[in-house]
Amino acid sequence: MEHISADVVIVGSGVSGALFAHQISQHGLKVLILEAGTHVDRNQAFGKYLNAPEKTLDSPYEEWKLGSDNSFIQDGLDQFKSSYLRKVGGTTWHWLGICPRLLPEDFKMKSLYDLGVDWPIDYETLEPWYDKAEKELGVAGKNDQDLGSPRQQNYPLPEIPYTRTDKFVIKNLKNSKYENLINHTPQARNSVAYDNRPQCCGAASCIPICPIQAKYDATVHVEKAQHCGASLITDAVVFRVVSESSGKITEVHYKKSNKQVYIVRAKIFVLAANAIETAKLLLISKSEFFQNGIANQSDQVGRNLMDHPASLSYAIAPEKIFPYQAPLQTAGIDFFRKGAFRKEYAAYRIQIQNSGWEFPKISEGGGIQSVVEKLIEQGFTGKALKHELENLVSKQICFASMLEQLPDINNRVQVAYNNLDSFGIPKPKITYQLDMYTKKALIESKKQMVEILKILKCTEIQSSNDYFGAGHIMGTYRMGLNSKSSVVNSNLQCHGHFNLFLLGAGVMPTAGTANPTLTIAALALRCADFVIKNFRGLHAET
Amino acid sequence: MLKRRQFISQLILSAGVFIVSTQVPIFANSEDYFKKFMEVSKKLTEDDYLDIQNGRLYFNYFFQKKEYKHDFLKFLSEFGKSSYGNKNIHFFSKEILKCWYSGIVNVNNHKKLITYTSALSWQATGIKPVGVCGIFGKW
Repeated sequence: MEHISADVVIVGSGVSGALFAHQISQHGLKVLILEAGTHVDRNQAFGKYLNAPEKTLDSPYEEWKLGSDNSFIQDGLDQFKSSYLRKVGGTTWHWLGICPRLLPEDFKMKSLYDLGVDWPIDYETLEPWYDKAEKELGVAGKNDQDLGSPRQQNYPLPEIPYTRTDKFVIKNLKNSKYENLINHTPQARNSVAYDNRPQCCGAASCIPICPIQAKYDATVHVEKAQHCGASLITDAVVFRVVSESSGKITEVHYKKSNKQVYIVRAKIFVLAANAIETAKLLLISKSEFFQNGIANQSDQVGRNLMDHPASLSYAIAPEKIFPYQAPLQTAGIDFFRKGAFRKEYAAYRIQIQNSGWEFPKISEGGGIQSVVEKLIEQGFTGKALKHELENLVSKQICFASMLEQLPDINNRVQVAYNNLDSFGIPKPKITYQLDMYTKKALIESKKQMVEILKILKCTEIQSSNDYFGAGHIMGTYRMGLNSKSSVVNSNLQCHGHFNLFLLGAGVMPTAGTANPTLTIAALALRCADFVIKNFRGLHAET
Repeated sequence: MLKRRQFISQLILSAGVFIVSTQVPIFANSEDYFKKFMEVSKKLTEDDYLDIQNGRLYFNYFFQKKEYKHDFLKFLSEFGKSSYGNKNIHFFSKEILKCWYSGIVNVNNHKKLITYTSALSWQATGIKPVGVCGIFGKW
């Protein structure tokens, strides 16, 4: 076994690990990032995507398909449908880049609606960190639109312009109850060149890959951290966190794919390997002192797994709106994110999709291919085929609702000790089920979307029967004031392990309806600030 | 939606006059078959500017696929001469169109991409292929 040492070791190089590493490495500390995956060569990955006959979330990254059926075990009544990537930069490689903030109400679900739990911090506490996160990620947004989250500063970048689809919706909702409800969607996509990255070119392949890095991904901050002196080791799968009986973490162990084992000693340890892998790592790090795993005195590690289940309604617009040409989402309706109804059913955000029927028809080859095949099967040939295809595809419209899900202790990540991955490490086992709170909202959101499509005079209106995963994996090591019911405190420091910090959406006590990346980033920046200010104390304490 | 009868009449329009024949005329070599394949493709797509290199790859797919070859050659020989009354013409007409429109063939139950950006779906819809850069805001 080889031994390595650092002041701060960070497990995971996704958005939270990368931002944290960059902040800390600017203060003269020896920072080491351990990343389970490898580097992505953007050109190569983009080429892989273009050459893939089936263009899926994983097609640019095919050598590792975590999040698919062969990566975690499913053991629940419902399927957990979200995935993540083991790569330098993490899942930001195939995120969409959408960056709304949580609403002030989202932090107080227990107080306001007697549901879930309250966060140990409020919106006002996080607000300046949201602002900083938006600058780091380069968020484009419209300053004079109120999305329900008060802001002190302007967005760092001007908004991404509306698409023809957005304009069609806005124009045709005039004089309806939905008039003036459409907002620009804030997103970490360059509306102008920013941070040495170019302006978006409308490639429309944001998921699974932006060809020119106009969309933010965490490699930006991995590289910045390295520039400030941080070290990065790839192909390093951490499989054990070691703690003294006092709770002081002393080392982590990792394996490379050649099965060689390494030990890393440090003063501060940060786990940022997403809400599934971080939870699993804590659980498998059982010892005689910590028989339920690290940071698990509360038995909350792995529990309260949440996503934003998505429902879809789609149709044919009465005029050509030309989807498939723009960032996949540029506008949405935030109106249903708050209100007294949250006592009864989940809040949701309606997204206007710019990707036609790609999402609802993904299992049939996508929104264009599925229509081509159908028309050919119906007997269309020649110019009639071209005409009908052009007519149908250019009018495809789709809305997606992303729904809040409440924390439920039975929705959880456990360890499949009998099912090992190629490193010989047990896989995560997921137990997951949607409750009535979310199921009611699935029905309600479809009603709203269908009503809007009818107002728009769309035809062939359909809704998905099933729900989709949003890729928003949250809740499995939540923050709280009480060490008996939470895993980390409001500084993301583990209860009982003062030199261990957990980052990522796993710390979120409730999910709200905001895509979580901006909140993940804001929390990571706030945590880094705490560690920088208290490093001496934390070090001395350890 | 086209009914079967309409489909047949569409095909007749694109394939010309049909003559009943049970014989399978054999062309001298595969190049002749390829020429015929391109001719058939042009009739089915009503597109005179099909990419000949892609066409060769699609042709090879049908030509080299054991379970297809005999029926495929028969199809090529009969297209435009034979009655539509057999399933062969119906089947291969659809398969050839799907190749041109998707840019994908199916080899041993695995999909293989022949072309992405030159698939006819993009031309037909006037949509730039997803992944190819356009101009910011021109959407």
